[in-house]
Amino acid sequence: MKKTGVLILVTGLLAASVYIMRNKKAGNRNLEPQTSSMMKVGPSGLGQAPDFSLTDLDEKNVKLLDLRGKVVVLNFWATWCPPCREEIPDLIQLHNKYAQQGLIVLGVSLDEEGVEGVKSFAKKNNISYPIVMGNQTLAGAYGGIRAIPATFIINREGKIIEKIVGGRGLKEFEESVKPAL
Amino acid sequence: MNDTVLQKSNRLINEKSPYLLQHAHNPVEWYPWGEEAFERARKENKPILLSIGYSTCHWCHVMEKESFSNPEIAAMMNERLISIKIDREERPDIDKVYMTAVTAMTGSGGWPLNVFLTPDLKPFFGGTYFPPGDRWGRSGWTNLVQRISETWANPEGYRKLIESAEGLSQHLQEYLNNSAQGEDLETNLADEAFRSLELVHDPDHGGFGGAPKFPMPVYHNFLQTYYARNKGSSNGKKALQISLLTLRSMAQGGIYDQIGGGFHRYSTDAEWRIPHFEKMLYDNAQLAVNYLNAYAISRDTLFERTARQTLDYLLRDMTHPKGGFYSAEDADSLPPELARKAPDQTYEHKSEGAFYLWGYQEIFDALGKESGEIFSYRYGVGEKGNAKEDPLGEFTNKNIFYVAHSVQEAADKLSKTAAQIESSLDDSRNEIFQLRSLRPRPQLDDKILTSWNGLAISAFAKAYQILADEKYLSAAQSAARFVWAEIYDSANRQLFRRWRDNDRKVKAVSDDYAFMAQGFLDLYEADFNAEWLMSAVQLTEDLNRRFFDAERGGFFMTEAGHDPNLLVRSKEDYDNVEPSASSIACMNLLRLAQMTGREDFSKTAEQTLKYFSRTMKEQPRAMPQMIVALDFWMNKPYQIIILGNKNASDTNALLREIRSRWIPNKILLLIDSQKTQELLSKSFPFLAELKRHQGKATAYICVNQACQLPITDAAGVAGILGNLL
Repeated sequence: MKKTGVLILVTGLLAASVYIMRNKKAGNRNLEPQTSSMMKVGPSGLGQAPDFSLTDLDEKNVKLLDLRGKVVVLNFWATWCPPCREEIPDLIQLHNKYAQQGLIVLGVSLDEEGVEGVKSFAKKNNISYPIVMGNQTLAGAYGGIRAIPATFIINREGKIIEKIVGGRGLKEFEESVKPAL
Repeated sequence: MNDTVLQKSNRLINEKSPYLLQHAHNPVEWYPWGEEAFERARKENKPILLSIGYSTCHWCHVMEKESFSNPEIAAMMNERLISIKIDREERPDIDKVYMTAVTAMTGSGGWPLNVFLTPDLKPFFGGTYFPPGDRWGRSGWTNLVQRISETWANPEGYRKLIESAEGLSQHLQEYLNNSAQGEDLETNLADEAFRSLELVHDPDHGGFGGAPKFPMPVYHNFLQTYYARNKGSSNGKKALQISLLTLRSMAQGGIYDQIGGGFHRYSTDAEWRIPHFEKMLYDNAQLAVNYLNAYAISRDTLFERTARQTLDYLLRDMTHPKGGFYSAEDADSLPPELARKAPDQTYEHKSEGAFYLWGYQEIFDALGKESGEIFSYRYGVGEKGNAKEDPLGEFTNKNIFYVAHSVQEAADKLSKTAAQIESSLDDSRNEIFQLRSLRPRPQLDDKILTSWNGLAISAFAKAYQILADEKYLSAAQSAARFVWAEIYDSANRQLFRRWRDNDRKVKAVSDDYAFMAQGFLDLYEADFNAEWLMSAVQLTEDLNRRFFDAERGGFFMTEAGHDPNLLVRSKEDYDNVEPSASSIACMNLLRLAQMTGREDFSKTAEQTLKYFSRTMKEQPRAMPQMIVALDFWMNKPYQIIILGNKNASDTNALLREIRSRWIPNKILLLIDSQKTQELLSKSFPFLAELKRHQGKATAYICVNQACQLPITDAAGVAGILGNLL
């Protein structure tokens, strides 16, 4: 009995470490979003923003709920996507310019090749706002992201007031966040 | 006179152009364009006759026969003038300047173009065809040469001629240097161009305006692009309808060689029934593309068949063993009945279309009664010939085949099944083709021109993209390899315009760079060999460096210092039967900017669009090909990038799905290896981040500033393109 218990324990440990290694290899250390408490947004992309808890590039936890009271510009993107890359300088400006007024840009990377590539990309491009690693479940919760960049403007009450698909410039972002500020 | 071998030759005998060689045995002491002629004119202070034509030009042949072969006329010309002959296909730059001059002086132009110049090459008088003697109240050639030389010899007359030559040259400089320059780009330019084409469209027989009707490939490029952009609107649908009706009528008309494939130059009537029979490479290459796209849009097999037969004609009759394509086939040839009687007859007995024309009895002799009847009914063969108009009496009792009745009509009329009719027609066409190939052939202009070869490479590359037939791909590849090895001097980055008999000559003009770069680009999108892409970039850089007007935008026809004897460095601002270099270059730049991320390319394109915006606005039909580029610039194109192994089934499945749709505004890249990825990433960093999804061939599709998440199955591609298009 004891022997079996030890075996089970060892197997369990092994499984856990394999799990961690595999995820480390893939660079995918995100915690799954709390789907149980998550509401899904419909095809319009509007409604209450589904909450999530994901790790950022420095492995810090970011919970959307913690940002309640701020205007959140939630930007789904990937390093391989030219229009996403094109709007990054504008997002940086937006983030810096309106931080004082309680706005935060939060990038959600849909890169599948791991956090390292995203990290070096963010560094190279001086991205000043936090980025979390996204996944299919989260994309699904936000109405199914088929094309990127896809940007959700979330007001201080946690409601999505606009969904934007496709790259934009600073001026257009300013127009979009204005009603929430 | 008939025995050319015994005849003395003039200086043109050392040339390679078949057109110049056609004049090499004239008693006229022709010079090629060059210092030897200019120097003699200066030394003897004689006026220069500059005579310009091309090998398949009917009235050039006539004048050569009537005047330039006539010893008395030649003697007079030799005494009083210095005569220079030019093949306009070799030297479009010289042609452009003096054609503009003659049009300004007389209100019209054409070929042969005969211009009189001062010894310093300034034009003072000119015209097109002249009969040898005075005719129809018009001055004949003899009289004209006489009057010009007399005026030249008279001090007062001489002063006036010089004065008018100076004045005209001044005007030419200003005119050719100052085509309307614009600044703003308006969104409705395409709508205006559509309306203006709709206005002149012939709803009964297709085509634009009345007779004579020319195939205008650039109109179709525009209309089909306009349709793709405005599918939902009635104008968009109308644009497609106009293009398809025109292409259908042409394919069924006498302008199309119903037996051997390929199009003749143009139709003398509004119904496309009676052509001028010469066949040009630039028409056939561009029309093949029009028909391929029409097929991609409509899936109507008439368009596929016409495209295939046209390309097969080029492969069969117009391809050099090394891979390049010849320039043209003449309209005239020795009639078979004459050839049988006296096989050594020369040009004087050649007649228009003789190779293509058939008598009623000839058809029945060849095919027998039953097949003869079917064939005659289908192709409109009449007992006394079928040419409705025949002003020169060339077609008496002769038939020009056109589709007079559908297969079903033939089946009903002759109580057979459609399948029986089809099969009989196939056999008959084949039989007629075999018999025809025993006839004397029209003269082949076998020089190889770079710009036209660029158009042909595009045609074969697109045929492979749309029809997936390997033989077309290999034709495009051989021609591209041939041009790169034989006509481009890569050490000095110098392209030439003409190649014949292992001799490349004449520095290339902007068309050559632009059309060839387009050919390489289209070929890249067919076989995804990155070398073609690099060649396209290289030629485009050469073009930008040497031909671009950095101050004002647009491309000059020649590079600075191309020919010190050229009066003006001009820009083509008209998309004619051949598109302008600027329009094609502009599209190349926009495509390459999307493929390589080169911002300098998009800036050059934008400057060019702006430069021509006034022309596009004021003359909405003048630059349809530029408007195609404008559409690409204003509406971000589809960027489609596939990661996968070349020729692997998963890659091909994705490609098939993309190529089966009419998407004029797209760029397509295939990354098949680490090497290509690294190579391409150098100029476009984001490519480095692309990965195959789960090891499978993966499509990345971006449009309208948004990218679809990676797709690995054809159904996914279909779903996305179906939704977006």
